[in-house]
Amino acid sequence: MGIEEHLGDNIITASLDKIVSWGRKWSIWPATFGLACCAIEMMTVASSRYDFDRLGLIFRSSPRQADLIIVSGRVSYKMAPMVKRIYDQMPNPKWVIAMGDCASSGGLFNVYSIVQGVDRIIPVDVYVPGCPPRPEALIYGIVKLQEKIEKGTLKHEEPPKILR
Amino acid sequence: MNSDNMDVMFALTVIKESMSKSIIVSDAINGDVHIQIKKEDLLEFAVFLKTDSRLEFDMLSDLFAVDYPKKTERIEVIYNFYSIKNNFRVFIKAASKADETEYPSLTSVYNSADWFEREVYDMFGLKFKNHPDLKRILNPDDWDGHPLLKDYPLRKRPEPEEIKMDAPGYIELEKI
Repeated sequence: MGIEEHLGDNIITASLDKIVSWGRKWSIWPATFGLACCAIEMMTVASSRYDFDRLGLIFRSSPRQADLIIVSGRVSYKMAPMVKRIYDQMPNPKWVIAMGDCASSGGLFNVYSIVQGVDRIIPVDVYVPGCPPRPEALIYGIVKLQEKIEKGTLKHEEPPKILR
Repeated sequence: MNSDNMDVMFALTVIKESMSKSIIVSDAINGDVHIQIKKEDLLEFAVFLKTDSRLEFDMLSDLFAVDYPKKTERIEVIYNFYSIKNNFRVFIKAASKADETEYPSLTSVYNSADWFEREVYDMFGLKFKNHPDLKRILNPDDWDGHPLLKDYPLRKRPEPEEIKMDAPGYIELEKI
Protein backbone atom coordinates (compact mmCIF):
# COMPACT_ATOMS: atom_id res chain seq x y z
CA MET A 1 0.00 0.00 0.00
CA GLY A 2 1.80 3.07 -1.14
CA ILE A 3 5.41 1.96 -1.63
CA GLU A 4 4.93 0.97 -5.27
CA GLU A 5 3.63 4.45 -5.92
CA HIS A 6 7.12 5.74 -5.13
CA LEU A 7 9.17 2.96 -6.71
CA GLY A 8 6.89 1.96 -9.58
CA ASP A 9 6.40 -1.59 -10.83
CA ASN A 10 9.79 -3.26 -10.71
CA ILE A 11 11.61 -6.25 -9.34
CA ILE A 12 11.84 -4.80 -5.82
CA THR A 13 8.12 -4.18 -5.42
CA ALA A 14 7.29 -7.52 -7.05
CA SER A 15 9.47 -9.34 -4.50
CA LEU A 16 8.11 -7.19 -1.70
CA ASP A 17 4.63 -8.32 -2.74
CA LYS A 18 5.57 -11.90 -2.06
CA ILE A 19 7.19 -11.19 1.29
CA VAL A 20 4.35 -9.04 2.57
CA SER A 21 1.68 -11.48 1.37
CA TRP A 22 3.57 -14.29 3.04
CA GLY A 23 3.66 -12.29 6.27
CA ARG A 24 -0.01 -11.46 6.09
CA LYS A 25 -0.89 -15.04 5.32
CA TRP A 26 0.71 -16.36 8.52
CA SER A 27 -0.54 -13.64 10.85
CA ILE A 28 -4.26 -13.32 10.27
CA TRP A 29 -5.60 -11.95 13.51
CA PRO A 30 -9.35 -12.43 13.86
CA ALA A 31 -11.53 -10.15 15.97
CA THR A 32 -13.04 -11.77 19.04
CA PHE A 33 -16.60 -11.70 17.80
CA GLY A 34 -19.24 -14.40 17.98
CA LEU A 35 -22.93 -14.25 17.22
CA ALA A 36 -24.53 -17.64 17.84
CA CYS A 37 -23.88 -21.37 18.10
CA CYS A 38 -21.17 -21.23 15.38
CA ALA A 39 -19.18 -19.12 17.84
CA ILE A 40 -18.92 -22.19 20.08
CA GLU A 41 -17.29 -24.09 17.21
CA MET A 42 -15.08 -21.08 16.53
CA MET A 43 -13.89 -21.15 20.16
CA THR A 44 -13.21 -24.87 19.79
CA VAL A 45 -10.94 -24.13 16.84
CA ALA A 46 -8.94 -21.85 19.12
CA SER A 47 -8.68 -24.54 21.80
CA SER A 48 -5.69 -26.84 22.21
CA ARG A 49 -7.26 -29.75 20.29
CA TYR A 50 -7.49 -27.84 16.98
CA ASP A 51 -5.21 -24.93 17.91
CA PHE A 52 -5.27 -22.36 15.14
CA ASP A 53 -2.38 -20.52 16.78
CA ARG A 54 -0.21 -22.79 14.65
CA LEU A 55 -1.65 -21.05 11.57
CA GLY A 56 -0.82 -17.68 13.10
CA LEU A 57 -4.38 -16.87 14.11
CA ILE A 58 -4.66 -15.18 17.48
CA PHE A 59 -7.93 -13.65 18.63
CA ARG A 60 -7.59 -9.93 19.20
CA SER A 61 -9.93 -8.17 21.58
CA SER A 62 -10.16 -5.01 19.52
CA PRO A 63 -11.30 -4.74 15.90
CA ARG A 64 -8.59 -2.10 15.42
CA GLN A 65 -5.95 -4.82 15.79
CA ALA A 66 -7.79 -7.39 13.69
CA ASP A 67 -7.43 -8.42 10.03
CA LEU A 68 -10.24 -10.93 9.92
CA ILE A 69 -13.80 -11.02 11.12
CA ILE A 70 -15.39 -14.46 11.38
CA VAL A 71 -19.14 -13.86 11.21
CA SER A 72 -20.14 -16.89 13.24
CA GLY A 73 -23.91 -17.15 13.32
CA ARG A 74 -27.13 -15.56 12.23
CA VAL A 75 -27.13 -11.79 11.80
CA SER A 76 -30.40 -10.25 12.91
CA TYR A 77 -31.55 -6.88 11.63
CA LYS A 78 -30.94 -5.49 15.09
CA MET A 79 -27.35 -6.78 15.10
CA ALA A 80 -26.55 -5.70 11.53
CA PRO A 81 -25.39 -2.16 12.44
CA MET A 82 -22.99 -3.57 15.04
CA VAL A 83 -21.48 -6.08 12.57
CA LYS A 84 -21.02 -3.28 10.02
CA ARG A 85 -19.51 -1.06 12.66
CA ILE A 86 -16.95 -3.66 13.76
CA TYR A 87 -16.04 -4.27 10.10
CA ASP A 88 -15.62 -0.53 9.50
CA GLN A 89 -13.36 -0.21 12.54
CA MET A 90 -10.91 -2.80 11.22
CA PRO A 91 -7.88 -1.36 9.41
CA ASN A 92 -7.12 -2.34 5.80
CA PRO A 93 -6.30 -4.92 4.56
CA LYS A 94 -9.19 -6.87 6.05
CA TRP A 95 -10.99 -10.08 5.28
CA VAL A 96 -14.31 -11.66 6.17
CA ILE A 97 -15.27 -15.30 6.67
CA ALA A 98 -18.99 -16.10 6.69
CA MET A 99 -19.06 -19.11 8.98
CA GLY A 100 -22.04 -21.46 8.72
CA ASP A 101 -25.24 -21.49 6.70
CA CYS A 102 -26.89 -18.62 8.59
CA ALA A 103 -24.09 -16.14 7.96
CA SER A 104 -23.76 -17.31 4.34
CA SER A 105 -27.41 -17.23 3.27
CA GLY A 106 -29.74 -16.95 6.24
CA GLY A 107 -29.81 -20.74 6.48
CA LEU A 108 -32.92 -22.17 8.03
CA PHE A 109 -33.89 -18.76 9.41
CA ASN A 110 -35.90 -17.69 6.39
CA VAL A 111 -37.89 -15.32 8.62
CA TYR A 112 -38.63 -11.67 9.19
CA SER A 113 -35.82 -10.88 11.61
CA ILE A 114 -32.70 -12.38 10.02
CA VAL A 115 -30.51 -10.79 7.32
CA GLN A 116 -30.35 -13.33 4.49
CA GLY A 117 -26.59 -13.63 4.36
CA VAL A 118 -24.05 -11.28 5.87
CA ASP A 119 -22.83 -10.51 2.32
CA ARG A 120 -25.74 -8.10 2.10
CA ILE A 121 -24.02 -5.75 4.54
CA ILE A 122 -20.28 -6.52 4.34
CA PRO A 123 -18.19 -8.14 1.55
CA VAL A 124 -17.30 -11.80 2.21
CA ASP A 125 -14.10 -13.59 1.11
CA VAL A 126 -14.72 -17.17 2.20
CA TYR A 127 -18.01 -18.95 2.87
CA VAL A 128 -17.84 -21.99 5.18
CA PRO A 129 -20.95 -24.19 4.88
CA GLY A 130 -22.27 -26.33 7.71
CA CYS A 131 -24.71 -26.04 10.56
CA PRO A 132 -22.52 -25.50 12.46
CA PRO A 133 -19.33 -26.29 10.48
CA ARG A 134 -16.96 -28.72 12.15
CA PRO A 135 -13.72 -27.17 13.38
CA GLU A 136 -11.91 -28.88 10.49
CA ALA A 137 -14.24 -27.07 8.07
CA LEU A 138 -13.41 -23.69 9.56
CA ILE A 139 -9.68 -24.51 9.42
CA TYR A 140 -10.16 -25.44 5.74
CA GLY A 141 -11.85 -22.07 5.22
CA ILE A 142 -8.92 -20.33 6.86
CA VAL A 143 -6.48 -22.24 4.64
CA LYS A 144 -8.50 -21.14 1.60
CA LEU A 145 -8.29 -17.55 2.85
CA GLN A 146 -4.53 -17.94 3.22
CA GLU A 147 -4.34 -19.08 -0.40
CA LYS A 148 -6.29 -15.98 -1.38
CA ILE A 149 -4.06 -13.67 0.65
CA GLU A 150 -0.96 -15.31 -0.87
CA LYS A 151 -2.07 -14.14 -4.30
CA GLY A 152 -2.69 -10.59 -3.09
CA THR A 153 -0.59 -7.58 -3.88
CA LEU A 154 0.62 -4.49 -2.12
CA LYS A 155 -1.05 -2.29 -4.66
CA HIS A 156 -3.95 -0.26 -3.48
CA GLU A 157 -7.04 -2.21 -4.28
CA GLU A 158 -10.52 -0.82 -4.54
CA PRO A 159 -12.53 -1.78 -1.48
CA PRO A 160 -14.50 -4.93 -2.28
CA LYS A 161 -18.07 -4.48 -3.43
CA ILE A 162 -20.95 -5.82 -1.42
CA LEU A 163 -22.75 -8.65 -3.20
CA ARG A 164 -26.49 -8.27 -3.25
CA MET B 1 -46.25 -33.10 45.79
CA ASN B 2 -45.15 -32.81 49.41
CA SER B 3 -47.34 -31.77 52.31
CA ASP B 4 -46.10 -28.14 52.37
CA ASN B 5 -47.50 -27.49 48.94
CA MET B 6 -50.88 -25.95 48.52
CA ASP B 7 -53.82 -28.03 47.43
CA VAL B 8 -55.18 -27.19 44.00
CA MET B 9 -58.82 -27.26 45.04
CA PHE B 10 -58.10 -25.13 48.12
CA ALA B 11 -56.44 -22.44 46.03
CA LEU B 12 -59.24 -22.50 43.49
CA THR B 13 -61.87 -22.17 46.22
CA VAL B 14 -60.08 -19.26 47.89
CA ILE B 15 -59.74 -17.39 44.60
CA LYS B 16 -63.32 -18.16 43.56
CA GLU B 17 -65.00 -16.96 46.76
CA SER B 18 -63.14 -13.64 46.80
CA MET B 19 -63.05 -12.75 43.10
CA SER B 20 -66.08 -14.58 41.73
CA LYS B 21 -67.38 -11.52 39.85
CA SER B 22 -64.37 -11.25 37.55
CA ILE B 23 -63.89 -14.97 36.83
CA ILE B 24 -65.32 -16.24 33.55
CA VAL B 25 -64.10 -19.86 33.55
CA SER B 26 -61.83 -21.70 35.94
CA ASP B 27 -60.30 -25.12 35.68
CA ALA B 28 -57.71 -27.37 37.30
CA ILE B 29 -55.68 -29.35 34.78
CA ASN B 30 -52.71 -31.56 35.71
CA GLY B 31 -52.32 -29.86 39.06
CA ASP B 32 -52.33 -26.34 37.58
CA VAL B 33 -55.04 -23.76 38.07
CA HIS B 34 -56.19 -22.00 34.91
CA ILE B 35 -58.52 -19.07 35.33
CA GLN B 36 -60.05 -16.98 32.56
CA ILE B 37 -60.89 -13.52 33.86
CA LYS B 38 -62.26 -10.23 32.56
CA LYS B 39 -59.59 -7.95 31.17
CA GLU B 40 -60.74 -4.89 33.13
CA ASP B 41 -60.28 -6.64 36.49
CA LEU B 42 -56.68 -7.72 35.88
CA LEU B 43 -55.02 -5.19 38.14
CA GLU B 44 -57.46 -5.78 40.98
CA PHE B 45 -56.99 -9.53 40.55
CA ALA B 46 -53.21 -9.27 40.67
CA VAL B 47 -53.31 -7.15 43.83
CA PHE B 48 -55.57 -9.75 45.42
CA LEU B 49 -53.28 -12.64 44.45
CA LYS B 50 -50.26 -10.85 45.85
CA THR B 51 -51.74 -9.57 49.12
CA ASP B 52 -54.05 -12.40 50.19
CA SER B 53 -52.41 -14.08 53.21
CA ARG B 54 -53.56 -17.57 52.21
CA LEU B 55 -52.20 -17.36 48.66
CA GLU B 56 -49.25 -14.92 48.59
CA PHE B 57 -48.44 -15.09 44.90
CA ASP B 58 -45.37 -12.91 45.35
CA MET B 59 -43.81 -13.50 41.94
CA LEU B 60 -44.95 -12.92 38.39
CA SER B 61 -42.80 -15.56 36.76
CA ASP B 62 -44.06 -15.15 33.20
CA LEU B 63 -46.35 -13.12 31.04
CA PHE B 64 -47.01 -13.83 27.38
CA ALA B 65 -49.65 -13.58 24.70
CA VAL B 66 -51.14 -15.90 22.08
CA ASP B 67 -52.88 -14.96 18.85
CA TYR B 68 -55.82 -17.21 17.90
CA PRO B 69 -56.82 -15.87 14.47
CA LYS B 70 -60.08 -17.88 14.27
CA LYS B 71 -61.52 -16.76 17.61
CA THR B 72 -63.51 -13.54 17.97
CA GLU B 73 -61.43 -12.64 21.03
CA ARG B 74 -58.18 -13.11 19.17
CA ILE B 75 -55.51 -12.03 21.59
CA GLU B 76 -55.09 -13.91 24.85
CA VAL B 77 -52.61 -12.74 27.47
CA ILE B 78 -51.50 -15.36 29.98
CA TYR B 79 -50.08 -14.42 33.37
CA ASN B 80 -48.12 -17.00 35.31
CA PHE B 81 -48.10 -16.19 39.03
CA TYR B 82 -45.97 -18.14 41.46
CA SER B 83 -46.09 -18.36 45.23
CA ILE B 84 -42.66 -19.08 46.67
CA LYS B 85 -44.04 -19.77 50.15
CA ASN B 86 -46.61 -22.31 48.95
CA ASN B 87 -44.64 -23.59 45.94
CA PHE B 88 -47.73 -23.09 43.85
CA ARG B 89 -48.46 -21.75 40.39
CA VAL B 90 -51.56 -20.22 38.85
CA PHE B 91 -52.28 -19.24 35.24
CA ILE B 92 -54.53 -16.24 34.68
CA LYS B 93 -55.80 -15.60 31.16
CA ALA B 94 -57.39 -12.46 29.79
CA ALA B 95 -58.64 -12.35 26.20
CA SER B 96 -59.50 -9.39 24.00
CA LYS B 97 -60.53 -8.58 20.46
CA ALA B 98 -57.79 -7.66 17.99
CA ASP B 99 -58.73 -3.97 17.97
CA GLU B 100 -58.99 -3.66 21.77
CA THR B 101 -55.30 -3.50 22.44
CA GLU B 102 -55.35 -1.73 25.78
CA TYR B 103 -54.47 -3.74 28.87
CA PRO B 104 -53.81 -2.61 32.43
CA SER B 105 -50.13 -2.74 33.29
CA LEU B 106 -49.05 -4.82 36.29
CA THR B 107 -45.81 -2.88 36.75
CA SER B 108 -47.23 -1.15 39.81
CA VAL B 109 -47.70 -4.54 41.51
CA TYR B 110 -44.90 -6.70 40.07
CA ASN B 111 -41.60 -5.18 38.92
CA SER B 112 -40.92 -8.15 36.63
CA ALA B 113 -43.91 -7.17 34.52
CA ASP B 114 -41.89 -4.31 33.01
CA TRP B 115 -39.87 -6.24 30.41
CA PHE B 116 -42.54 -8.91 29.90
CA GLU B 117 -45.04 -6.25 28.92
CA ARG B 118 -42.51 -4.58 26.65
CA GLU B 119 -41.97 -7.91 24.90
CA VAL B 120 -45.72 -8.47 24.46
CA TYR B 121 -46.05 -4.91 23.17
CA ASP B 122 -43.20 -5.51 20.73
CA MET B 123 -44.51 -8.81 19.39
CA PHE B 124 -48.30 -8.27 19.59
CA GLY B 125 -48.79 -4.52 19.77
CA LEU B 126 -50.75 -4.53 23.02
CA LYS B 127 -50.71 -1.19 24.81
CA PHE B 128 -50.19 -1.57 28.54
CA LYS B 129 -51.76 1.39 30.24
CA ASN B 130 -49.59 3.18 32.83
CA HIS B 131 -46.47 1.25 31.85
CA PRO B 132 -43.45 3.46 32.74
CA ASP B 133 -41.47 2.91 29.53
CA LEU B 134 -43.44 1.07 26.86
CA LYS B 135 -41.06 0.68 23.89
CA ARG B 136 -39.75 -2.20 21.79
CA ILE B 137 -37.39 -4.62 23.49
CA LEU B 138 -36.47 -7.30 20.91
CA ASN B 139 -36.92 -5.72 17.49
CA PRO B 140 -35.13 -2.56 16.35
CA ASP B 141 -36.83 0.63 17.51
CA ASP B 142 -37.88 1.62 13.98
CA TRP B 143 -39.43 -1.76 13.19
CA ASP B 144 -42.71 -1.82 11.30
CA GLY B 145 -45.53 -4.02 12.64
CA HIS B 146 -45.75 -6.65 15.35
CA PRO B 147 -44.23 -9.95 14.14
CA LEU B 148 -46.03 -12.55 16.27
CA LEU B 149 -49.49 -11.54 15.07
CA LYS B 150 -50.70 -14.26 12.71
CA ASP B 151 -51.47 -11.79 9.94
CA TYR B 152 -47.89 -10.51 9.91
CA PRO B 153 -46.25 -11.73 6.67
CA LEU B 154 -43.65 -14.37 7.58
CA ARG B 155 -41.00 -13.32 5.10
CA LYS B 156 -41.50 -9.60 5.08
CA ARG B 157 -38.02 -8.18 5.48
CA PRO B 158 -36.46 -4.76 5.06
CA GLU B 159 -34.07 -4.46 2.11
CA PRO B 160 -30.39 -4.35 3.18
CA GLU B 161 -30.27 -0.70 2.08
CA GLU B 162 -33.09 0.11 4.47
CA ILE B 163 -31.20 -1.05 7.56
CA LYS B 164 -30.38 1.98 9.65
CA MET B 165 -26.69 1.60 10.25
CA ASP B 166 -26.64 4.42 12.77
CA ALA B 167 -26.77 2.35 15.92
CA PRO B 168 -26.35 4.58 19.00
CA GLY B 169 -22.96 6.22 18.73
CA TYR B 170 -22.32 5.08 15.16
CA ILE B 171 -20.11 7.39 13.11
CA GLU B 172 -19.12 6.84 9.48
CA LEU B 173 -15.36 6.39 9.46
CA GLU B 174 -14.99 8.66 6.42
CA LYS B 175 -16.51 11.54 8.37
CA ILE B 176 -13.92 11.52 11.18
